Amino acid sequence: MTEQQLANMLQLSAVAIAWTLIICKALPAYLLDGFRQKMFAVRDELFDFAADGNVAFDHPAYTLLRRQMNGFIRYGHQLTVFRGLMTAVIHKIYGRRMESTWWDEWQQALESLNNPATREALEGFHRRAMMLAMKRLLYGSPLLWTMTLIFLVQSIYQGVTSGLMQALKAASRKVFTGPINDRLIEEAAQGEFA
Amino acid sequence: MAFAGRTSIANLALAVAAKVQATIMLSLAATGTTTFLWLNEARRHKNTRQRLTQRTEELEKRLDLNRESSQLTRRGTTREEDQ
Repeated sequence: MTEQQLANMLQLSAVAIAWTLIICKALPAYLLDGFRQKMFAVRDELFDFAADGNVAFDHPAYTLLRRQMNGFIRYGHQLTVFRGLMTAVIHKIYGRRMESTWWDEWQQALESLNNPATREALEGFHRRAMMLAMKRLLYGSPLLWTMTLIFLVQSIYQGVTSGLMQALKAASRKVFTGPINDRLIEEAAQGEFA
Repeated sequence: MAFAGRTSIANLALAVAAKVQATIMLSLAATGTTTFLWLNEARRHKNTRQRLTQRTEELEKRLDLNRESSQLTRRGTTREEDQ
């Protein structure tokens, strides 16, 4: 191995280590922190909404929503497509149904609210929390990124190759058939054999 | 004679170092510095969380006696048992 090759290998190793640390450690930690921070912000707004007297702190609608947000914050690191798929597979294997009573309780709690504006506001908080969780599910999954990247590269490759093939076909058609008149060739050939 | 092996290694190291491109070294140095600054900032952020969380919790408990927590650590990180 020459000195230049050794130097290249060292550079490549340093870059590979740096990228591995970024993808495997720094980026997931950053995304998780961001998710939790946003969810805390929604939870704080919900608290302020209740503190303003719009809904009682012990009302099921408030407690259910806060508990759900707490769950998202606590288990945010597990909110990934891979974990979701694994859970679904395990439930399927063991024949367990993924049931939750949360939604029914939430609907009942909303119905028990007399003020439609409060109900709408609480539904808004719920929607925002769910949206954050969905985004977390999408952005926080290295598996999904990889799959998306593969899909994109494949689509681009397919698009480029099919586009190139079409362009080549069109070009060859123009080059080989455009300026040459088939009838003249046939007449010339007939003249030679006559 | 005692320096024979060492000098050849030193020579090789110097020769390799001379071949490493300055732009790449500067880029790596910039990446390292940025990473250090980011990690330091993240640590300070956690310290700030630790300092302020307790106060918020106490104030919220005055209004909501049954206040439920997210069960994160005081520094805002995942608890070991939840990993």
